[in-house]
Amino acid sequence: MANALPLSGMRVFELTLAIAGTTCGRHLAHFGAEVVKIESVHHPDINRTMGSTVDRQKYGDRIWLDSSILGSEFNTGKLSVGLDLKKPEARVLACRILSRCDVFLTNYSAEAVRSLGLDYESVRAIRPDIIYAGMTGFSADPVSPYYSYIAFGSNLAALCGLDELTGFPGSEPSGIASLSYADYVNGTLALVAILSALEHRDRTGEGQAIDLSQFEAVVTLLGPQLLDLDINRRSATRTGNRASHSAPQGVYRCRGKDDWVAISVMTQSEWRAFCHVAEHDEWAADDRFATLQQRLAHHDDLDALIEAWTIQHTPAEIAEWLQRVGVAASQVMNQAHLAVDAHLCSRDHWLLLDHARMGKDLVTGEAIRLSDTPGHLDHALPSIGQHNEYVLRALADCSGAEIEQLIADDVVFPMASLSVKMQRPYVPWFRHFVPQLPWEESSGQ
Amino acid sequence: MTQQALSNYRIIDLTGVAGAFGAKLLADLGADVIKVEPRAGGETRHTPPFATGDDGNGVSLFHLYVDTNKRSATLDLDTVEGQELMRRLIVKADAVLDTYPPGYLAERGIGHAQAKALNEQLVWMSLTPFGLTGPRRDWRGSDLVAWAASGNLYTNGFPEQPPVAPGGPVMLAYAVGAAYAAAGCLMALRARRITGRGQLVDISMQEANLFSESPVNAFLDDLIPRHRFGNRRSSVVPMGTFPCKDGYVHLLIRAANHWQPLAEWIKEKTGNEAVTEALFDDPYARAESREFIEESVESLTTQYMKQELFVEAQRRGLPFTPLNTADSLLQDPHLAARSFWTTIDDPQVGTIRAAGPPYRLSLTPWQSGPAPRLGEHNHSVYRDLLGLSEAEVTALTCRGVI
Repeated sequence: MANALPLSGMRVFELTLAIAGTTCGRHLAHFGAEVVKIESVHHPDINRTMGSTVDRQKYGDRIWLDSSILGSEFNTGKLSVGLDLKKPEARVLACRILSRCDVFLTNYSAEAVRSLGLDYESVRAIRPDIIYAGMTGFSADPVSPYYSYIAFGSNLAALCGLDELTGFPGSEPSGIASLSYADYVNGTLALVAILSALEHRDRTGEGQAIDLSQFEAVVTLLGPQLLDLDINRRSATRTGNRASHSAPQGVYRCRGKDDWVAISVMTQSEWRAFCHVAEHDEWAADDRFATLQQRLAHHDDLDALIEAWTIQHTPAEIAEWLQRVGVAASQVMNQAHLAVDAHLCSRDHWLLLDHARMGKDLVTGEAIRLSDTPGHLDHALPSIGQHNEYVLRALADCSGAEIEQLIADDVVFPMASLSVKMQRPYVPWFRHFVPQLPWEESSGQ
Repeated sequence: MTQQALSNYRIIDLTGVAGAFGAKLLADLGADVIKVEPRAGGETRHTPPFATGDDGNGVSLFHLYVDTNKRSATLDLDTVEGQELMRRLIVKADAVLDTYPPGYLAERGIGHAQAKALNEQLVWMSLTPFGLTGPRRDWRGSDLVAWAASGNLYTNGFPEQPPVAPGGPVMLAYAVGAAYAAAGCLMALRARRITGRGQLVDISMQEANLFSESPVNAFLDDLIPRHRFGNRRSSVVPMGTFPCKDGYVHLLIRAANHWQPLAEWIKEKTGNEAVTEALFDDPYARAESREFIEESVESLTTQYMKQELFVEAQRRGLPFTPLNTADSLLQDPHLAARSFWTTIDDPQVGTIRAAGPPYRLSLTPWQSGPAPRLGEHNHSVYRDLLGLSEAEVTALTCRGVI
């Protein structure tokens, strides 16, 4: 049943930027919702400006904005309508579209949303049963102390206590500098909240507002540590890669320039198996390492011994050997390793989708895999305004003449010309690593 | 009792440390989550931190937190009678949340395929280290292994140190997997409304953690390998972690409307005028003069405590955040004003103050509640739900099945 997707028939009005809101919208699109993303050329979604190798000088801003790889990662499958919501005519159109939407999804600040006349009360007046999901930094409640504060996914980790816990004891915190972790987990938590609200609506016909403060949501991940402080007066500190219920555990240097293996030994039998694989059965007989508590107490000694072994081998070998005897281990993978990872390829993790400018675009797959209704993405990143005709005619009741006028008045941004055809530089060679993807099929544009 | 969004669903919770938080998300929104666990207690009960020291003799605070609002029924899945009781539970359930290794439950006659034959409306959510298919399906996992396989461990930490896992003891990769588990379960329940049937939800902890701002396709495009760079960026200046009197703050200054007020503030507090020169309005110029810019910023930040620096910076419209410790969070004024902390009366450790709602639904709110004692709901589950007699429950208990 091709139209039997979980969210078939559902429509989402998406006003998002960067990562937290956009990833949530992508999941909705994947499972059948029609996700209409409102985009402005004057204030493009920041993830469209996080580049690709497309030469901005040579091709100009519109093509550059349409070629973003992060744009494809986070906005794949959505419809793009180019609208300047600051203009009153655009807001009239937005209201018409909203009246046909089931979900309103935004991670704009509460103030920004209010200034556009799209706060919950205003939206509910247009569509009473709407599910309004607002993902702010510090909640939509103007009374909350940090209401007007600025936070991004990358500095939220610090505020939420995660950065302080990342790094080695005795060193400065390294923090989660390379990844906007908070954004990804919040995108998924918002999905849980939206799906739950839909349950209530199915039973009662009532929509509701979801107030997701990204600060608060991430703090809930530290629940156990916060209880430890509250009850035991014990404050969690950096532990490097170690855990208190698993030893040895750590990241060990292997043969190579910057090659590492991660290992977690969790039980006594795993410990014995580990020693055997390392060809050091005597470690298992060593009093210093006899129990979990002993190994934790002598972890430094143990790590030195382990690394003297791992340094002689590649991480892939060590992970294979250990996994064969039931010990959790993995190479510390980088993008090059992941790109050619046989396991991910065998699971068809990479998707090759149509792209108006690039022909085809490779994106990361959806981690929620449903056996019978697996979901589907029609296209990668849409060009800004790519779906103007459909959205403005079918959802905003505009005629062709009206659309032309709106374009002339700079209320609607037309899609930029597709005359320039491009291709991702990896197409000629990466196809050999994942030959099962539809490299040859026409884009159908 | 306020109505909750998921009150119509009954879910069998067979998760361990890896997925328990996902079951909690559903329980806290009203689902009847029945945690089926061994008589020795499920994994979460043996996971630190503990209420009284780490020797394992206290109550697990991890369990108290992630098992809120669940019912607990003990069951020995290695016995024929236990497996039969599980089958009867499956018939009564809407969903199963499973983090056992692939094949473990199937070997006992209570895996997904067997469950489907008993209850074709059942959603079966399986969360495993590498998914249910592929060459690594039988690989073992941990939070650290999930980070390693995600690509995001490689790029985290200082260049001269080993890669280091984001969030350390918090087990952040597992948290993401658990959130996906909850979302996947709900998505399949939504599909059931249309198809009339349940289905299998296969979630790989690796795939759930593959998200990144430097994903594989970005690398394929530019072929620039990403390496560990520590806690400050060189391409955006100033950005990263800076010391203050009692710890650190994080700041991210890119736009001119952030840089200029910061430069003025530095001048105000340190007399450093050079930093306000117009040339530094250009982010490239700042990156070129990284050492000077960062030293100037440090001369400001080291004059403040992190919370006061946070408040003052935000007052000036600057995106600074403190590197909070657990202590700072418990004292945070925003969380307090938002009534974020919930009080739970736990029969074993007394009154505790726990972290509160991740989101607020206006009509069907999140609710707090205690975690169950081991086997606390054996009667309500086996007698009331499955219809066993009191005598049968007693007999099964004596034989060690329950």
